[in-house]
Amino acid sequence: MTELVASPGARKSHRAKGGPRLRPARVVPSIVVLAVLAVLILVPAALVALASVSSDVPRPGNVTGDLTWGNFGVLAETGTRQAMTNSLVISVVATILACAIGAGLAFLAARTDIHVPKFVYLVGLMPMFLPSYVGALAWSLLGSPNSGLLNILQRDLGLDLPLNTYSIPGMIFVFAIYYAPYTFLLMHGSMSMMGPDLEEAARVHGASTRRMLFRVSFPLAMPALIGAAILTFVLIFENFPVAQVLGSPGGIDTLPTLIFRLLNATPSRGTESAAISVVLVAVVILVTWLQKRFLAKRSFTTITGKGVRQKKVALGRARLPIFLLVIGFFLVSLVLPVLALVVVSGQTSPYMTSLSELFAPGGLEFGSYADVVASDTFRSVTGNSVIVSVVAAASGTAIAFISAYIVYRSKSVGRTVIEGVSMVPLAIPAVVLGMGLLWTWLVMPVPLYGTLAVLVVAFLAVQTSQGFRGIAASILATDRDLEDSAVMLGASRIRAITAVTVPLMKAGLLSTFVLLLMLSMRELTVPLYLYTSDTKILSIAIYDAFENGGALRQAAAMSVIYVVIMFVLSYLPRVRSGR
Amino acid sequence: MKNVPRTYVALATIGVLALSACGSASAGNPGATAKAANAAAVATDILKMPTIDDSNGLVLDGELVADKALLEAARADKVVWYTGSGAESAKLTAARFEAETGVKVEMTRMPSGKLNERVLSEAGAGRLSAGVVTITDPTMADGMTDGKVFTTYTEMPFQKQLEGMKNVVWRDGAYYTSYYSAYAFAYNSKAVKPEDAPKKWADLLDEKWKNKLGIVNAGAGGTVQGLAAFQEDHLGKDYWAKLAALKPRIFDTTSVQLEAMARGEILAGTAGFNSTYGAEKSGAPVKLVVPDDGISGTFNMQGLTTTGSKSAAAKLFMNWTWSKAGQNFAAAQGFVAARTDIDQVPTGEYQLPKASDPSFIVYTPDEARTRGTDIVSRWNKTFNFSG
Repeated sequence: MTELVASPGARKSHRAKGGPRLRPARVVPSIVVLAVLAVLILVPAALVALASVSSDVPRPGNVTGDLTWGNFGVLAETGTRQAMTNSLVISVVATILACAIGAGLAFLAARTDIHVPKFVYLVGLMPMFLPSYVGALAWSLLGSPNSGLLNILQRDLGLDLPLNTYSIPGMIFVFAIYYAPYTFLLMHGSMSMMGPDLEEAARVHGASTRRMLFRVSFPLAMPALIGAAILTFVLIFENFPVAQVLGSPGGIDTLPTLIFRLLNATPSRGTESAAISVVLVAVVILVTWLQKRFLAKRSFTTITGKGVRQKKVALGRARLPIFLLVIGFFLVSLVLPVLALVVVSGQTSPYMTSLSELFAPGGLEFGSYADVVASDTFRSVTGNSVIVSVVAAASGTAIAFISAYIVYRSKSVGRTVIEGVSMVPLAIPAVVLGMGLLWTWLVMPVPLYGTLAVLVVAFLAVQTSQGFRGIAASILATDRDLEDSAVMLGASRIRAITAVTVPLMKAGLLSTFVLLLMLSMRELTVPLYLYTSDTKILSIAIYDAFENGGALRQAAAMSVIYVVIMFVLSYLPRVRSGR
Repeated sequence: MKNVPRTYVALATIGVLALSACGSASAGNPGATAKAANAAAVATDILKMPTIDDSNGLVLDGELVADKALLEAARADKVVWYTGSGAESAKLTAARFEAETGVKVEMTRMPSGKLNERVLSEAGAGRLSAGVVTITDPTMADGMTDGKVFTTYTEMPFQKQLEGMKNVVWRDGAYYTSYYSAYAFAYNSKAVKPEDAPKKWADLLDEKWKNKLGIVNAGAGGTVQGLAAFQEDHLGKDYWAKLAALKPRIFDTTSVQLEAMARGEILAGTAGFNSTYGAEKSGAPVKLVVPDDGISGTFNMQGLTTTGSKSAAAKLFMNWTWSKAGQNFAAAQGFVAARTDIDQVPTGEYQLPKASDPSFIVYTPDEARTRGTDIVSRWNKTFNFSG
């Protein structure tokens, strides 16, 4: 058995469809999608690119045309290089860990006889319910060297294990936890729909379960894993809140904290931060191109529609220990941080020398929840957040499906361009892309600015890459023979897609929808440039509450309620779709 | 295939839920009033309401704030206010203004850097919605004047008094100093005994604070840059080096630093008065110190925009900000009033100096322009901090 298995049928039908003539069907969809992506992404990105070579910020009314390469000089500064090194080390190690955790949980939930697989699925997904800044704050509450709750507990118990989240290992740990769900979602879609044929063949030829997994199943999941790894790497690379909350107090700088300081400098060095972004975009486009070259040589089709009745891998004696490991991850990723937030939301005084103080009379009281829920502001921002997120996630999934279909299933002109453009937003740090989006929607001759719709449009732009990667992983794993058969039997292409391909990809579409929903609920930086008092959303309200510092009770209460909302939102589609 | 419509059903369900959530929020107008009343109550708790007489224009504590025509027009209008000040302070100020004047405010708050970009961009595109803009960085206020965001406004009833004061009217009335941010230090009152608490700036340099102090880096904003200048100019050229030798934790934002101080992760540190006082009022075990050897002050600027010049409510908001009532409310929250013809109202148990007091050392816009970059780069070097 070779490392990777090609499906010759798929190739043949590709060739049968492909021809040299340019038919309208081959041009029109690409043009439409490219036009949409251009407005969503290219215009803001072009403004960022212009900023990187301008001597002054090219906001509306201030485009001077004075160009300079001087902004790139920032890359040679010692501080930038040190920050770059830290960022690289943290991102690479955290990505490896996040992918291992996410892929492991996806495999356990989708393909093994582990106890309560539905619970394992939730464990994989749930770290996503905490926005990374809330997660980082929770872990600062738990693991800061002097007053972290876990360190207070250690002192209560007379233990002295070194535990310090204000450190590079601490940051890697927090990043790995909060970015594992990306890999999980992408891999789960791919693994749960994997056709059993090739695995059966391996078994019939005498392969052990281990051999089958490592030579057949895991390699088949490669596109999803590589896609997830790229996504995770870039997202960690540009994450600001975790670096701000955990890195700065520990004296560790990363590229995003540096960009933050450039933007806050007087006068603001916005053009130089744009220059850093341009370099990031170049790196991401290069990585995407390499990935495409790697994937292009092989076929990873696993969903064939032929009796998808996977055989569960028996964990045997390891079944219980592995389940306990999953519970351990559940504890550190969700239970402990949420518990920390609950404690803080009820703590009458944030200062403690022993956990026993919590149980003293008056040590805990939870009036802050009633205040938050009763507040009219909270209800209106929650309403706004849910509307924006659901609409953005649904339309984002649709756009991603259409783009990925054109890229991977058609011979349309410009499909590589579509893929490249889709990956651009990933590489531009949100704080810089936010500026580009602000400029774009201020000058667009459509009256979206100042409405909830502009937030939807901005979220679509910011999350195009995540959506595209999610759908791409799923579409690469779905056989096109069934759709082609439907066409041969007289169905139109559109009908074949909606009646055959979409249902086959249900798991992948749902995963992507949930991913985009969570991302939209969490998004903070970009809406800060675009919201008004009427269109304030939940993430901004929580950020404002945290901004007050020192008295975190309301902020913590809001975060706990927020986790509950995220849980309900992500669970509803699954319940309704009968999974 | 049968399952697919169910997915759509799920989406539709969420959509309906979302709409109903929104509906219930917007339908809850009585709730909105209650909320406003609640915020106003908190605002009252900070400072007693002034006497209000609106029988012939608006007179607060005996001072005319708006004539009859302006008041009537303003009450039929609303202020759109963009501000870069702290979230809590912005909320309280908006509630207090509504309670004292009966004029509605739509407040949008964001950090100064983003606010600056947004206001300049909106103005550049001809779509500026804000009538009044408050910003914590004087150089940005200057940029907004150059960018035709601010317009000259000299119609305040106390215009003459303001013009006679130092550092209040800028660019012929394009913008004004609304109040000053005050910066000193604070400590965790549960972890530090009163007799051990620092009282003078020099006390912070005691060896006992090694690894127990927290500061915000000088490049993080105008207030901390001003503090760095104050330390160097007034406490000694070697103050930074001595502080750096104690290995303080260096934060990027005040909020994260305050949170660490409340929990006892750091025991003491330099602190902004307004935000720390807000945390103390909400139950954080922190105590501020008003050292008699000086307090660092930085400017908060506010101006009427070209959009606001057409809004009576925006003009009234400007008037109110520099009225005795508005200035006293800022002082009660932990700012130093810009007007020096009135006494500085205490901030709870703390008494900040007046702006004209020699112990209050301001970092002028000129200094920010000429020395800012140099201060930050040398500060970074001393504290071995990259930025």
